[in-house]
Amino acid sequence: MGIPTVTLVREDFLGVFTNAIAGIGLAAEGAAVAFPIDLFMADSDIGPLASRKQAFYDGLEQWRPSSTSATAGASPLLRVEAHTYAEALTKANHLFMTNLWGDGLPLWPATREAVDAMLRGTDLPRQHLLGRFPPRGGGVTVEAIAISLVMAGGRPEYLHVLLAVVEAVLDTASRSDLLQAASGSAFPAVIVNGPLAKRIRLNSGFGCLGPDPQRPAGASIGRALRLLQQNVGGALPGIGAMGIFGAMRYTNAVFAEDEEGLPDGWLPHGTERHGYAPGTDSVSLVYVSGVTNVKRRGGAEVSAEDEVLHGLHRVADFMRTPNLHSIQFNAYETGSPGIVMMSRVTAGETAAHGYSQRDLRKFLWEHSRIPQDTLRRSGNVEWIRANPSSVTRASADLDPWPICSKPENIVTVVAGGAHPTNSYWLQGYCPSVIGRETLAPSAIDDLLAEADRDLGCASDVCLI
Amino acid sequence: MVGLEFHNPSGTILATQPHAPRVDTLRGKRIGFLSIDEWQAHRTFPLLRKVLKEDFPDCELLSMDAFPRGIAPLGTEETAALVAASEVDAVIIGNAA
Repeated sequence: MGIPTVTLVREDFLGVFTNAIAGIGLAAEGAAVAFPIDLFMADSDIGPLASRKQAFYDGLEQWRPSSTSATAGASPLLRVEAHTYAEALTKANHLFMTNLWGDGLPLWPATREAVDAMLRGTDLPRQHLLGRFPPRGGGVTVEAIAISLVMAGGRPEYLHVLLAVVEAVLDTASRSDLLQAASGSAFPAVIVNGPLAKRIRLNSGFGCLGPDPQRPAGASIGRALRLLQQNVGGALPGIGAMGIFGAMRYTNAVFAEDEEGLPDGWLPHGTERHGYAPGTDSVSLVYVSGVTNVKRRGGAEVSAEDEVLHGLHRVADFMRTPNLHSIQFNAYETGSPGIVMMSRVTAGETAAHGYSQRDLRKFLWEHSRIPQDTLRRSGNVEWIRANPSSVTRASADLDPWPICSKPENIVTVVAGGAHPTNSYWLQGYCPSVIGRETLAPSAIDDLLAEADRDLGCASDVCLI
Repeated sequence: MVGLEFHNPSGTILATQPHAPRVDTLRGKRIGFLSIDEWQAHRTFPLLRKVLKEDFPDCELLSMDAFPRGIAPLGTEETAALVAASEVDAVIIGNAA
């Protein structure tokens, strides 16, 4: 645009600042005047601002970039040497850590051979550029994605899922550029639909958000995504990613919907939310900021009807919190306040008592409304009134206040072990729920056969 | 010795445009402000405007409302187009905290 700028920035935020600059295609540096956090707190002494006024003037009159290079950060091959392979592997991991490319757990070096093998998981050319990974804007090619999946311990049959997830993250409507850097510790939750999810060993049952040696795909797909967020997107804790606590960031949350457990008449999430035909392999990206277990089963001598009703109320009670993240970046109007996960048993009970998925969301929306006095006493109304979205601002006086503009914004998904006691609530930080179809490689049958050879049979009769 | 060769995982950063040249002086210039409206921006911007006006009395300071305010609109193409159309010579942005 050719207009010089200078930015007033917090010292700790300089990494986020330079990432943002790189993300729009400029060399990763910029004119800034930095202060400690104290200046930016309520009732602070802002006198230091005036005493450094010359720095602002210099930023607009004198500042020059230190580099005029058109490109930086090329990706050469690295090499370590040692007496044994085990020592070389250790050295490689030390290199990952000292270059700030690791997550603290052991990584697999992405050798040429391993990356070539991983690329069998897509028919796309290895140098195909999917876009620039926000916020720093690192170029993300198919090869870069394969490298991360190798490092995360993934397999080629996972690659097409990860590619679709990255496409979703790169969709500007996801606001990944802001969420990666923001302090609210948003992390991607990825719901996978379609028949291939089970075949590549994505978990939709017991422990679906955690580690499972029989269904390991979600862990390495999510870990590879995290490595991309950090290594290509610049979301390094405390420098480019200011999530204060940063939960769930080792592997994010990647799981399959339990489509076989959907009650009659209920549709897969990908169909309901994104309009994909049933049976379509797809992913759905929902940024969330937390995971909460809700004990929803009824006590002794409660009728089945009351158990369903009590359970839904208990979930709604957890949702009835003034979550200001669910109004940011237009999320109130177009995004989601969060994901309700229920097992096939709970979904079956709920459907048996007359609830369609639409009824379920309507119930949760109506019963999670927040009374105005609760909103006011915690200062939420001021945030709602200051929101850029007219739809959000117009909701400020509703009493009780709905946690999102319409029931359809609530994501409900059937997953988890076949047990009725608990449901899960993943509180949203989600401006938009982004869907993408996955594109399986032509070699998928061969890859699945190799997985059976390497990991053992994956059919229902073989697994515990 | 065993050699292990592997890919750098950090992708490639491409600088596709140069940084804007600076103004020779702020005297007589038209200056815009982009605020995320948080982190004491309601206090820091008035102070910056005050010292600017004292030191460069002939510069023109656009209203704080000349451009959309808040985090969400700050980096959008729409806001960039408005800034370009405003014919400002320089912009002060804040508060990135």
